[in-house]
Amino acid sequence: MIDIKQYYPAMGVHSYLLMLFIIGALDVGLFQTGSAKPAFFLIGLYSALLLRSDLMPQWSVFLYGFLYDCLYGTPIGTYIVIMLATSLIIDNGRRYLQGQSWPVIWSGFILTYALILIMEIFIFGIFQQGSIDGSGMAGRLFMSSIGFPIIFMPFIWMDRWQKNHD
Amino acid sequence: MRKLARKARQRYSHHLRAVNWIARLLPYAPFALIGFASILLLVSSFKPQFLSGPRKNVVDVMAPVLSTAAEPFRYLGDVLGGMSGINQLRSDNEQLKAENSRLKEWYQTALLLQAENKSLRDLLNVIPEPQQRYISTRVISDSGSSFVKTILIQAGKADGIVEGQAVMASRGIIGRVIEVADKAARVLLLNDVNSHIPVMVERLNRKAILAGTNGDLLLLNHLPKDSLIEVGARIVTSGHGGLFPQGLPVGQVVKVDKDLVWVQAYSDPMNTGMVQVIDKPDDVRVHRSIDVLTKTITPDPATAVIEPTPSSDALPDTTPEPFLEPIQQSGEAVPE
Repeated sequence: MIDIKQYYPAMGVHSYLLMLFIIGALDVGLFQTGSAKPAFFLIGLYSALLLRSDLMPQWSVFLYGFLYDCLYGTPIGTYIVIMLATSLIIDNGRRYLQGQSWPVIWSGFILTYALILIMEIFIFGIFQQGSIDGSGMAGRLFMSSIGFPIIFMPFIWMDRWQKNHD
Repeated sequence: MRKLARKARQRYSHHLRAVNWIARLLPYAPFALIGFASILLLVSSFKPQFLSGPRKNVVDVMAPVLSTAAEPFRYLGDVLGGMSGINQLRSDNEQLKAENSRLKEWYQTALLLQAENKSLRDLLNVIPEPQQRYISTRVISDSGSSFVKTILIQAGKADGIVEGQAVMASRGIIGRVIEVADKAARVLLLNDVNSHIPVMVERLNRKAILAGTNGDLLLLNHLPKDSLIEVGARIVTSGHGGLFPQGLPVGQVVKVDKDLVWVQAYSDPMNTGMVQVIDKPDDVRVHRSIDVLTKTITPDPATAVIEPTPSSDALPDTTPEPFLEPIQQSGEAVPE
């Protein structure tokens, strides 16, 4: 008999991530200014990797990257590489970031997202020639930084709730 | 006890060795996955059709989910917009009324010109150009990326969408269909760096290629060197290559820097709620043949072609017809 209760934490985290994935893909003017909108899913990924890395095996990050590439029309592998590299970076920084104050975690996200943008510039720079939409990228970084606390909070609540019920 | 443990260790030693081996390799698993993903990236960059099957399946699965998920946000946006923008709505209303009366005058002029054009064409025995048909549909997703400028629309193979069709917003063309799934299709926007469409500078009749730059402005390439392009010149599709119909509005020249001519698209490709997918231009004779064939094969008019084109022996109609003719509407009406 499978005890479904043991899967509740994983189900909670991945359902929330999928919800962020869907919201991030929507074409709704409510969340965006011009072409810049917050990177909902990447904020969720950072939060999940930071707080519940035990529920985020590498293959799940691989799958999310694959889904992302399929839905956004980028060459397959682009966001798989970016997300896996991000997960490695967060893995290394977790010991430092865990238990730190709120502004440090927030700054950690801004730094991580800046690194993701640099990786995007590098990967897309290899395969396509064209100008870099600097204002668009700055807008995305700004919007994501502002949206971070709103998306990160539910992860903290979920984490606390799960720890209380373990 | 110790004996038993030793025996067990001896018996399962090969299993333990395997587990040990896997445990040693486990820290390198992310690197192996990154390596695998890099290979996928290399292959799909040089061969864009690679893994297009799974990609289309994902789009097919996600299309209804995205469409349903967007509804509450759209409703919320409408409510918030309605609450905050009453004054804005009043001024917009006044502006639109003035614009509407101006457009009505233009409409009358256009009708006169169209009738005159038609009679002149009849006099010269010009083969009439086929009517363009379109499908109106909703945008369900946009990439929001600085490097890939694509959108997903809520119409696919089942709605008659095919690769290469032009996609228009309310004021002009915004891109072309590059990938078609059953329930949705992907549109490459004009400002994507991979977008190149054949265009023409109106009045000068100079042909060129309009290329995306990933930025807000588009670049006019391969323009003849002696072209005297001025700021404000209108750019329309040239119809070369047979993908797009001729004369679809694209944008206007906003900057001329030595050899570089910059164009601003009429419709902002990133902020479009509803779009029209234009049928590929067909030869009128092909339309007639299809018409004849469908009439002979399927006598039941209910199952015949949705919009029959006028047959060759029909009398010339003097009533003006709109340039674009809808064949199907998916979603809500197109805002004009």
